[in-house]
Amino acid sequence: MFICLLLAFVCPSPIVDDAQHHLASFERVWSIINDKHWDLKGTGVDWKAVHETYLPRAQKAKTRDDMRKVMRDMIHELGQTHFGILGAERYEELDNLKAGMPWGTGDPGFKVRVVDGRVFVVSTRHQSPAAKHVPVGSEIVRFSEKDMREAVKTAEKAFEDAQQKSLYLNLTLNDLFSGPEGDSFDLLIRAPGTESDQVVTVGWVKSLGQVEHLGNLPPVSFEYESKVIDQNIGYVAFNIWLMPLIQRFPQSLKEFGDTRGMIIDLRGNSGGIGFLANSIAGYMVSERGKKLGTMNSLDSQINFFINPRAPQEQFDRPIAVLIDGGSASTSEIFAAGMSDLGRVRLVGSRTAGAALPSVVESLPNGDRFQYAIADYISAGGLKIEGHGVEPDLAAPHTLESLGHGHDAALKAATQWILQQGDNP
Amino acid sequence: MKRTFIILLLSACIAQAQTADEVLDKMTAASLGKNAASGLTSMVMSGTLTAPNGLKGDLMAFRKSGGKIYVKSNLSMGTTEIEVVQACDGSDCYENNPMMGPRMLSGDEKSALLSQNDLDGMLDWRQTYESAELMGSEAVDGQDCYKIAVVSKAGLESVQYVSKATYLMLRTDMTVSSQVMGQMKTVTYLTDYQDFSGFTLPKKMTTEVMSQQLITQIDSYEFNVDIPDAKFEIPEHLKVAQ
Repeated sequence: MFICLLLAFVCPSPIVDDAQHHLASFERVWSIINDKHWDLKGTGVDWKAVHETYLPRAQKAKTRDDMRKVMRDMIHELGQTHFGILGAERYEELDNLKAGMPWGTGDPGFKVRVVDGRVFVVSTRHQSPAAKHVPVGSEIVRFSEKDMREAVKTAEKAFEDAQQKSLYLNLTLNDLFSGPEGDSFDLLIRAPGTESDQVVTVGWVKSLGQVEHLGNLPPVSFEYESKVIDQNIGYVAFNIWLMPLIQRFPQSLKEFGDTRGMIIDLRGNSGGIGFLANSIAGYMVSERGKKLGTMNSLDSQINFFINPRAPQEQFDRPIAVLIDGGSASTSEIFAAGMSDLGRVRLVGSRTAGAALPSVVESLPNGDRFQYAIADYISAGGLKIEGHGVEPDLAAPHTLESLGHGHDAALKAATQWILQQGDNP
Repeated sequence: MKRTFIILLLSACIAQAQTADEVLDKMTAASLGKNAASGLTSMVMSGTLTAPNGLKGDLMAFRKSGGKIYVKSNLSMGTTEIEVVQACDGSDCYENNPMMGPRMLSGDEKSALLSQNDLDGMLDWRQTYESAELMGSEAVDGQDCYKIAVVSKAGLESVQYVSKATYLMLRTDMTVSSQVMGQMKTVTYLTDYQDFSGFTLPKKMTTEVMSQQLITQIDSYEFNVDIPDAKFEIPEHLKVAQ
């Protein structure tokens, strides 16, 4: 059972700015690729020769920037996109971003996305204070004395070298708004369709999710929403692929018994247990011998095979899957595989391109090295890592749609399902 | 001194001269102890399982001569509990796992389940393996071992590491290939051997797969327990589905 949850930027190490630590970082990067790459031979690169070529340059590198250039050039020899050096000092700026802000596990009652360098509310939690005072489509201008456009700039700069920039950006910005449950806070917002800013007071509420434990990781909140929306369409959304899904999802399908179709909303879902993707797919694919894709590591090749469920458990109507830059790993494995099989329509915007455990390791000089330990190829031959999954129907959040308080992807998915008719 | 060296050299040559068959015969004898192979018809094993990502639970394995196997795991992860069953009726094998749904097992997946739980093979390796070849020596956790490549009658290849000192198996490597699951390499370490009613069996098995560890801790082994054949039968709905 593979964890494809994105766990990045942990265990920071101090910034050390001397030649010895820079050279040690160079050696560490070379060794990681040498020891952990799933198919170094297949790249056609003589990795030992690459070391000999770049070592003299590394030995001459005096500054952090010099060494980063050497390491990036060395990595570039692989011709693969999902390896990168991430600068250390930019993470200090990120830490400063949260400094002075409230801390806690309380839910602000809304989710945000960055659109054109600005922070917009894209959904609110039913019956929360935010649902009453912060309409969907509102721009958050200021929070806890921090200008949100400046916050976006800082975060964008920190993640500019990361392959999954959009994912990290949105995770970081959503995390800024958590705080102590029960307390209230002020937001300066610009509501959709208005020209002036206003201060609203909302409160942090208890997280709706079910607290789940995933190995030695801190407890995570599993949030699952299932309902029948307008036009008699089933709608299911969950924030992480965890074990409760194997009970909750079939239950939702029973409730969607006479609906015209289903929308699975994976926007902002950054992963979880990998095999749950093919587990859930078994309720929507009835043909035997199908798989979502294949993961190749150093000594194994794992098929994400689909075992079709019994006919009476199958959902056989049109399915749209909503994706965006916050959809990563297991969500991408599911979306790409189901799309390749022609079973779903992907609606929204390109996913994060982080289908694998995206390991980020601190280097001796404090920089980070991001690398993949396996390769994942979807059923249709798509390499997701570093590329992402493109929607069949592009419907990103835009200033215009947010200005009208609309969820562009949800609207497009609904229209597509209606076009399919009752018997596609 | 010179004489001691010659004796040691001679001992080493004798050890090297052993064939894979001889080593495996001694391995069987070391496990059986004073028990007669013909006297064992069934075995029930109970213990606990700890898998990656906080998945853990209880395990019961029933083995009966004739290739009959029934392994039930009650697992929990977070707030979710599941029951996973893998079983063979002497001919066919199936898995009922709520994560993936019920399905019949075939190819290496079926062979691996049979070879890991085969009571007949434990009593006489020739019933399970088609061939065995001594590959040389290699240390496992500091213990010098015979390294033996075996091929099961179903064609599953594995490498076994048998202690030169105790003739107990300390490690087994296997690559399971299946059209369904793909190809997966597993390395299993067998440790904490203890006496159970005269049999010498491991209390702990640690399996490494894709950099993750699965630990099986055995609490008890019972022998010659009456297990009705109905326990191993393939569920009717699975027969129909295939």
